[in-house]
Amino acid sequence: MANKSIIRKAGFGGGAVLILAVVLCLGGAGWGAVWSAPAQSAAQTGARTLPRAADGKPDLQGIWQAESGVGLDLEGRLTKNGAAGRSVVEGGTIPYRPEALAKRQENLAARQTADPMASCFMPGVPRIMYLDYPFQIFQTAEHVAITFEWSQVFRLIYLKGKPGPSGFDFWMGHSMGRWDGDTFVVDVTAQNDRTWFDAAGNHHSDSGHMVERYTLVDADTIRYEVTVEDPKTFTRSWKISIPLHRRKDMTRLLEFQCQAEAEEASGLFERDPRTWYTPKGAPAPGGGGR
Amino acid sequence: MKRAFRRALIVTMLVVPFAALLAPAQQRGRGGAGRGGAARGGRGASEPVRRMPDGKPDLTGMYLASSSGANYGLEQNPRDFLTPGTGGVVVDPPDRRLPYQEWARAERIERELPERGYDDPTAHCFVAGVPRSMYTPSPYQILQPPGYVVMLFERMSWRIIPLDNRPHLPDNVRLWQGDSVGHWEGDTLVVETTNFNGKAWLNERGDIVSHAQHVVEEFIPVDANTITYRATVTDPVVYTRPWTIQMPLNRRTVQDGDTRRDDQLLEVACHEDNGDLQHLKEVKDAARAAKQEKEK
Amino acid sequence: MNVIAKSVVAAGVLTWMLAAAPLGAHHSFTAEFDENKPVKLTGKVTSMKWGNPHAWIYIDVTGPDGKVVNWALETGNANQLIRNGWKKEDLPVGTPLVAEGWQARNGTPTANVNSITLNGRRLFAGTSNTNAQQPQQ
Repeated sequence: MANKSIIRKAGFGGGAVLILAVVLCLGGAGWGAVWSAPAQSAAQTGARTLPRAADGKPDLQGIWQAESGVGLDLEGRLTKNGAAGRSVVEGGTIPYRPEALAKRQENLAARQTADPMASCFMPGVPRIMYLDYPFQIFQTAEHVAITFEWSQVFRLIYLKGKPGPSGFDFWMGHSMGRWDGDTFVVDVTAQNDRTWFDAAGNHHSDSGHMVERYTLVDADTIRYEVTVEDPKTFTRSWKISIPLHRRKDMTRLLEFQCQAEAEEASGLFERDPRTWYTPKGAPAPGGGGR
Repeated sequence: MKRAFRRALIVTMLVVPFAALLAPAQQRGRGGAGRGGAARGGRGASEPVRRMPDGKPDLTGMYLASSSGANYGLEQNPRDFLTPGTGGVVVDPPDRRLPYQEWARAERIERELPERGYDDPTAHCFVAGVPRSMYTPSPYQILQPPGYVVMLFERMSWRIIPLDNRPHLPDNVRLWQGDSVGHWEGDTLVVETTNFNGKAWLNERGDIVSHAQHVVEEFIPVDANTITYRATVTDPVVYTRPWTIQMPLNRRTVQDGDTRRDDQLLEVACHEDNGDLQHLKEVKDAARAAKQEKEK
Repeated sequence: MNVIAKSVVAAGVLTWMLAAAPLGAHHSFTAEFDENKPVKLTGKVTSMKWGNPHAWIYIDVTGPDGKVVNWALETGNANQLIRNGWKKEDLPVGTPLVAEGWQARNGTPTANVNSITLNGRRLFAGTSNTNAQQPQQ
């Protein structure tokens, strides 16, 4: 019985649904993006019923991670195993000014040591969003907070309140967020020029303005887009788009303490055998490192 | 004249003494001196504890501990050159001294030697652990998203405390900040943290914890601007019995025109800015070399 | 802001700075600097690094031999300054000052300073250390 009525409704409402879809696409709202997502009937059903927070906004909360390897090279030339990569940059390449392109090439050549993340320095925005480590998003009335497994960096995005103190810049910048329909939009400013976009030397000045857009495509996917405005470095603004996937296998973040692990490995931070944990079955600890 | 005076002001404030006066009474959550002027100092009439929609206390906002120098020692300690004297925050045992086992008391004394300064993990800008994260003299933001209490430390690190009574991580998973699970007992937020890796120090003087550390914290809201913070540490490798510290956490606010609002976190790029570690390493290496020379 | 108001603010700020423990002082300073190597340096600001837990002021000091040595002076943390509304350009290059403190153990031109004299006016009488002889309750 229920099936018959659904079929009848589909026939009658199919046209209405089509019109609605067109209107929403033209409106450019998140729903438009949802309708144009790759079609699988299950995905479309999921997309129509996005999880929502108490205030009715899409619920972005949970543990997420970008696909592996994006953070190597936004333009997709550097890849982990030499396989063909893909660019996440709209148009394929980043529109550098000539002198900035030369600097990118220098960075690329020196990346083993010049990459700030090689020194465990903070990655900045947007690079923190597409490392090979998970992060967790929290939503409250006044903030969206993102905590990262990587060195316990966090971002606190202000929905109300003031921009940061003028004249100072930060590794992770200052983020102000707002909702544009069902898309969460974040303005990131006050970032210093010490961070890269990826491990391939793509860089920016201290006058950059990044605009992020988080769109919940379905319950387990966020489309993450960033528009970069930085006339000191680029000839025009440019954009990347990266899917973030829900880590359904995780219930909590662990830790990747970049500098601590590096120093333990090199002996610069020595084991204290009396206090440090020793896994059961491991050889008895010695009296310290090198 | 005006410019020179302004410059003088800057320099005055730059000279923050490392053996600073640690007057807890000064550390009220009413913004710093120099802002607005009018609504500074003193608490005035205290506002009642704020409430979340579900009736639980609303602890959200930016806080700084009034810690009597806990980041330099939990017991009472005299000043040592540039390391501040400390007032002591131990409330149990009643003699206000940490109940060290003999081996640990000896190690604690040794940690105060100059050549051990390098061994304090925070000298390397590693995370401070628990409870030290709550009293390193950097503010933090407390958020209460659904099902969690989240703490974001200006000294770049975080704690995520789920409120769903989940079991702790398996015993072989060990973390700097441990694994925290929280629940409300009336108006008190109780947090239990286990799974420590034993790598943290409790403060600069080197009060000790090991991998066996188990911490129970209580966040007891007093009024809209104050939380009483208690932490009970049980560590059978280091101590003869559990002990408890206590201190107030004060809301940090600023005057913004007519209103008083929460202050905002800035950023501490400790590792990126670390100009001291190399010096400390030299002191350690020199001491080690001298010791090896003596043993020859 | 008039001069009187400013001196009140300065005193207030100084008190607040003294009262607040140094931000994230994350190591034993006793280790790094030498109590037995007090220094008094006269020089001109060449740059300033706004950092936490320390801001660093760099000054050119001309020695008796006429050689100029750039000293790194370790001071308090930048975030407290920012919270008090100070701007990056507030201590311009060329500002003359006299700094007193203790040199690093390794003998490099590095010092932890507790007193700075600006325009003949000593901003810090005695040392903060003597002020903090007694542990605070």
